[in-house]
Amino acid sequence: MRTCKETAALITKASLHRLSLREWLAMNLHLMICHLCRRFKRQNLILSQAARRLLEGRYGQLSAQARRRIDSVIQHADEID
Amino acid sequence: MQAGSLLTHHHIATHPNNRYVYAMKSDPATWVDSYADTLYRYALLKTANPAVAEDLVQETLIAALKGHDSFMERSSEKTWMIGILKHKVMDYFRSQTREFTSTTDEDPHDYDSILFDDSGHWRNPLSPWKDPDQALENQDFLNILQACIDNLPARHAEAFMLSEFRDLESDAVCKLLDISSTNNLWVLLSRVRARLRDCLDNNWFRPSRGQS
Repeated sequence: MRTCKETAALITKASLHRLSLREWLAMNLHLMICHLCRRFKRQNLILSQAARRLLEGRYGQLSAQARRRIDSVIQHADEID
Repeated sequence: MQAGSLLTHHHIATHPNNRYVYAMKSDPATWVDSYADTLYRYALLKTANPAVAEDLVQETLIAALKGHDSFMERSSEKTWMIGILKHKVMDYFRSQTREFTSTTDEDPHDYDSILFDDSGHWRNPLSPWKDPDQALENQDFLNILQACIDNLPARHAEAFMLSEFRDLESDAVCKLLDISSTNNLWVLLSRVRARLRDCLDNNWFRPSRGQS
């Protein structure tokens, strides 16, 4: 059985990436018996939702103006080569 | 339909010097749409200056255009480009005589003994969060999260934000942070998230407001 410490890393991985079958089983087996890790998983989700709201405001997209400028520079550089 | 009418062939036809075709190579005309936002967010994260970040994105895409022939499919095109951008950002920092990243950051395992006991169990029982949905709608809560992130060692804050942008593959995040394997990334991020969880716990969910 994995420890909470190991399971925390699996929970994090699962939220961002695909787990291997072995990892997925290990994580879920642990989650079945450990309410603290279940809570960690739930609260991680909330943390991510909050982070997304925060980061969307702080790191938006490239402005339309810059987008057009860069686009035309690339097209132009393409023609020269 | 003739193979010659396929998009990739069209692209090759306009670039007679491209002698080798890689399936993952895309038409540079699509780059701004595909990659500019991802590149921009990283540049802005590092420089905190929108004008500089825009310039760095432009330089990166031009460098990518020049080097496109030498791009091999060892990684995705996006990962390749973010690698170019990382070097552009480093050059920029050098020109400003600023330090790129504090490499002397704390080891993530420093937190291990705070978070877990010797047998790997949570040292302190994680307390439940009351009304998290309500918190998400509250700007004060987001400001506290901001403060919690700002309190992290710079590299850990960067790791957290890069992972939450959700548009970079994990190998790209590792490359940007000089992390040797993705497993180390998951360990680092799990410790950073546990710390942020504690910070939100202490500064929002716990202080007596839960009872009202």
